[in-house]
Amino acid sequence: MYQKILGGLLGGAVGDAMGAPTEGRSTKQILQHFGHAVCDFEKPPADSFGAGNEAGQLTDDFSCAYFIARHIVGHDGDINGNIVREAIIDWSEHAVFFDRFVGPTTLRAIRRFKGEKIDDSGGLDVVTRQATNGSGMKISPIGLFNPGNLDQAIADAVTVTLPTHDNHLAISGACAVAAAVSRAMLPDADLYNVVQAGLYGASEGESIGLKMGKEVAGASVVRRMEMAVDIALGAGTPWEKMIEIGDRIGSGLHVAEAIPAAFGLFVANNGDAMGSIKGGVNIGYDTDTVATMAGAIAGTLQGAGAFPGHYLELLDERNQIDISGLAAGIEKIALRRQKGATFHAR
Amino acid sequence: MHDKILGCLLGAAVGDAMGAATEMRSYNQIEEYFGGKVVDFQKPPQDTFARGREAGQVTDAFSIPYVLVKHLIRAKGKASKELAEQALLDWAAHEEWFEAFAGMTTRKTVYKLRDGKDPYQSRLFASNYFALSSNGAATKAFPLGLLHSGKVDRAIEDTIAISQAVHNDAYSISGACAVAAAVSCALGSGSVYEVVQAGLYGAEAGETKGREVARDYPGPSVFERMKMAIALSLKAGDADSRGKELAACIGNGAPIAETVPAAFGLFMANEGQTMPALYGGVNIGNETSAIASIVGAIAGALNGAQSITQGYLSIIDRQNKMDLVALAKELESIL
Repeated sequence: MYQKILGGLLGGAVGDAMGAPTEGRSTKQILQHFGHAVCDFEKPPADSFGAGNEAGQLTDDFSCAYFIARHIVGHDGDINGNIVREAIIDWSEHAVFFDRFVGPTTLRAIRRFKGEKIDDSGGLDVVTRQATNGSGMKISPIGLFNPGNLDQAIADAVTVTLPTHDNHLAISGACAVAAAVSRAMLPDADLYNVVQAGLYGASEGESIGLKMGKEVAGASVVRRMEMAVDIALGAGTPWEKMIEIGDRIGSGLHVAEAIPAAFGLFVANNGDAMGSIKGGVNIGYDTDTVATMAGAIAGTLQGAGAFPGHYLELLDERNQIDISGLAAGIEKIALRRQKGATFHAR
Repeated sequence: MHDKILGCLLGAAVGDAMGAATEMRSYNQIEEYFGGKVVDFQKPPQDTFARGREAGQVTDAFSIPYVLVKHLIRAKGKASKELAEQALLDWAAHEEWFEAFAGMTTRKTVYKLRDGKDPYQSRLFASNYFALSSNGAATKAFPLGLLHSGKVDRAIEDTIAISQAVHNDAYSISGACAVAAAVSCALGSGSVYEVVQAGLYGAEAGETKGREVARDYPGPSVFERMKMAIALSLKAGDADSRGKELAACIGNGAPIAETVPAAFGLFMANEGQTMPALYGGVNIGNETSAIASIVGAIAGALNGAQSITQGYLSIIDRQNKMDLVALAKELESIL
């Protein structure tokens, strides 16, 4: 189990750090700028969000997931709204991870946590613009805490998502990722049952989100996931499918682009962790977020052995974090939760 | 010809004004709030962009092209980037429109044109995700179709020039060219099928030419999404269920790769009929005024003003202090 947890964390971290330099560009522009597809850690260019970062440094995506997971471990496995808010505020005070990177919906929520008055669009709450992928970027550890217990992973994902992204589409996207990672934790996990778990999570998340959060107009995460998987199951190379997913599904900030794209790339690469991450890194647009989610799902499925041996130390050192320490903390809680849980393996 | 030109203008205006009330809500939220589908002008609720305005008043979706048409008439139909900039500044001088409705892309351009400075200038390669390729280029593209009845390539050429003033990127240009090409074809002797084909031709040509002359942004392709939307609109089920499918799969939001494909899907799903297609846009949810305005312009150009509910012309004229009949006549006189 430890190898899977470490793989899931590594996948999230590798995807985020590797995607940081390519964010905001199209595939063609990535090839033009770097002279090749980006398949390793590179220094983010001066015109990217990651400017100033060294190769291997994280952005908001995995750093936020890391903080949330650490706070949950620190509270001995408790997952509730207060702990989530505490973790996010703690993370927001970490300038390196937060200041340049925080997305619009998360920033808005943090200002609310801190009691600031929100006044955008003259007080108009443009909820349709809060259906964003920040719900999915930080959620993968929730699957790691709940091996094979999809419904608990979904319930916990809702708890973690509500404080920042309280709309049904963002919740649907978060539950898709959490459920897929949860299923990938089991020894019998394979591409098929992980994708099915993701679709189950998206559709459960949608109905729970409608009850517990705001309904919001916009494209459906479930339907776009089905469309992305359709493309991934067709003919062609993983690179060709990546282009098609980018053109037809999209890989941007909206939750119904980034999350379906991550699942599509996971399938297009037959569950291979480095392949899925490279797909996310080179698909263009919100590359680090797509890559962190695809990487977390595939990394959990394949385990830490799927990554080049020196990545763990490099990421720990560049970011002053302790990924294997966190993995050990998660494992303790996951084993305990697994023992007490009723199984809903699908 | 007059009836078709008026149909296009009126279809765009009616779609915008009717959609202003349903904007931002989902299909279900519209039904819940209004007690059913919206098929008439309603006062926009307090939680939408058009709050405080009256039933039948248009938003930016129609007011921007309305001012553009006036400028095109004055220039005897000679479209250029400079003309589009002047028209935009003229539009922005109307406080009631500019303050309530100017989106990020438009606002940025207006400030820059006014004093040469860009208040949102950023070192970033692509600074604001939601400012990328929004639907503003497409809602103001129909006048270029009106200028070139049946001459799709001319319509595309002029649309590229006009789009470059504000929405200078390949996908915005692609979406705008799709609309202008469809209107051009609808104004000529096009059938529903031919109008959709012209739209696809415009989207593809606009994307290709846009890459040569304008910025290239990452993002889903308008052309690809249009093909998907049209395929969806041909599946089993009534027009309402097709509309819900389009919203779920293609999307109904501000990105041009959602707005324009959704409008073409609704046009096809409603067999090109003006009012049903327009109602489809009003009730699809999210960016309803833009979607309904685009589909209203295309279907209105195809079917003429007589396909639009009687009495709507005078409501639009009265509520917005416009004279669309005179505008259509002036436009016809320069062709």
